[in-house]
Amino acid sequence: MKWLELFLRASTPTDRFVLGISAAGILSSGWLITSEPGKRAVVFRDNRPVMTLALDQDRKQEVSGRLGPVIIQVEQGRVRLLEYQSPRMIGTRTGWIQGAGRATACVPCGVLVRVEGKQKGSAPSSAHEFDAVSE
Amino acid sequence: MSGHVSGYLSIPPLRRDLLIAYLAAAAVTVHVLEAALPGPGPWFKPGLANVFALVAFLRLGWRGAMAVTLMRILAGSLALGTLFTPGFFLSFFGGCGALAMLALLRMIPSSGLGVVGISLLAALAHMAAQIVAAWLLIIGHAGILAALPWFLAGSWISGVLNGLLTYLLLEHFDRHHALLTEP
Amino acid sequence: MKPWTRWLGWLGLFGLGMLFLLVSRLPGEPEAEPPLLETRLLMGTLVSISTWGVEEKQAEAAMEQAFAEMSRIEGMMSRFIPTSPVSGLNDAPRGAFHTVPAELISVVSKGLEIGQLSGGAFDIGLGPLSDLWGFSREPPPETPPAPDALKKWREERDRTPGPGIELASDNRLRLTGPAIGLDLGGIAKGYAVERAMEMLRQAGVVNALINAGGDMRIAGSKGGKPWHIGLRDPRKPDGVVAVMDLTGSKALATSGDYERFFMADGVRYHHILDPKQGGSSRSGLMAVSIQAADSLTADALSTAVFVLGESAGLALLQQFPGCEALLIREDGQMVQTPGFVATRSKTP
Repeated sequence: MKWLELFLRASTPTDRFVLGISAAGILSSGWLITSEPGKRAVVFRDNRPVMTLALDQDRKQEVSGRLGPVIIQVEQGRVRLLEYQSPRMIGTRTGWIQGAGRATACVPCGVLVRVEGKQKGSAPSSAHEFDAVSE
Repeated sequence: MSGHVSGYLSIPPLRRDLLIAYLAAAAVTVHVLEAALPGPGPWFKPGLANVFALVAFLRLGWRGAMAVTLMRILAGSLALGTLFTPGFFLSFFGGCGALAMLALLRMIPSSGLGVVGISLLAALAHMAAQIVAAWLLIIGHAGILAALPWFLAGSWISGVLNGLLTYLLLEHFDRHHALLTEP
Repeated sequence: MKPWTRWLGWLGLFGLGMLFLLVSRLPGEPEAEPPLLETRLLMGTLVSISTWGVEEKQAEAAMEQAFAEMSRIEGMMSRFIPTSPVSGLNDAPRGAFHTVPAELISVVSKGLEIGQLSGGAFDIGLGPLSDLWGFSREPPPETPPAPDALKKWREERDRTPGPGIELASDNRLRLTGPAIGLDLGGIAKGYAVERAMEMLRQAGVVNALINAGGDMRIAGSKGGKPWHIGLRDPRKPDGVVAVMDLTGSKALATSGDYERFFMADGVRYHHILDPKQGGSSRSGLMAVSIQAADSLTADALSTAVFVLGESAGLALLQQFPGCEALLIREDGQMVQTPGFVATRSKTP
């Protein structure tokens, strides 16, 4: 109560107005930032989305591919396709993918996994990150 | 009477310089003590030392606040041995941000802002400048800007508290008859 | 009160300081605006399109059109899609002319032209031989085809003179022997990529990169920065042996013995077939990359040069001004023509 009295005595109406506005601004911008959805990966089968995986939950997910089941592994915000014996299985070549927009696929299975969203501002994390690799 | 912003006292010049020295000394002391406090990090300090800069601003003008702030940062870093380290630059930019805000407020004399409002806005500017400086100088990753609301929330609270403390300090300050006499 | 202009001076000084910091920081900021990236499974491979400098909605619509165009071309030129005109020709009895889309005629005639210039090393009529080897089968083969089957193909092929593919007016085409079947695998992807880039251009996208499993087409840049492209190490899937920083309108295609292959008794059998041998090309090369003005030419030449080998391949290149090559020999040595754009390359 003493503090409230002090506050009422010490602050002008303009003060209280500025306090309210700034608190509202700070809280709403904070809320906006935290309510931004977590990173997710979308699984496509023959270019049609079949499921969405949250990348903050480690798991192994089986999806049906053209040649049988394909296992998608999510771990520490990254995602990959598990080994499938085919030289055309690009997924095993790409390994873990993480950045928004990155994709990995098992071509003969018709399964593609793509991390949602746009690439972030400070894009390539290393000098070895290419726009594309010719192979 | 509310807010204590009602103009300068007619303080004799020599008294002004002495007052600035006293306020700066107090600010440096609090600055060093605060740095010794255990806390979650260098950015989550209540910034109590800023109270003295506010007193200087409200009673001696913007240049008084600048003198107190710069002396606090320089002398404080000297005492702590952090001169020209990243932490020093963060403090420095924070201080400059707060001073810039005070200069801005000085331009609108009839805003009706009182101690608490001025303290709050200065604290927010302090934090914002500090974060921007951290982004530009140290971290180099825009990700830190995403944490800005949380830092600002912290400085909102300390800004209001410091405003109230400044108010209390000013009550004593203004009653002090020594202010009006030559030393 | 003192004039507020004094304080404005201080404020201005502070502002200038901050501005200086900001400006000094900017050049170090890596790729302030990254390209938009979209990926699909098309033409039996992973196709990615990156665009730069176009507003998101417009870029996405343009990429959608480009993917649709590639899908349309796949539907026309793939021998694995039963309803495609190419499958229709391959399934029909030999000898009779069939009317096919004009687009198919133009790609086939381009393929025949490069086939002739390469002395038959590039051959778009190898469908039955490809089927025998089955590199496109799933699961992939583990042994070469039976010698008898290969011998039979050889005999039948030798009975058919020339390329075995004939064009006639009014968009008509015929295959002249049972050993002949259209396999546009070495050229259709290049054509599709070329068309996809054209769709992007028409939709107002000036800066783009299309990558269809190594068949690449680039346009423009990333806000003045070149497209940063790696060339895969033929023996290390994650390795890169050369870096190409490309801008402007260029095509790049790579053919390698590591794309589809199997090992049997210590021998590597890969999908690039030599029409003269009737099996995997043994020309002493592991990979060939071609830089050209258009993807169709780059795609076809990478296969042709691979089959021809180093000396004959480089001789063929002389007939294609503006086309440059990088060859990786079986020992890992790299050879490149003077105009081939590659930086920071090392031997694998």
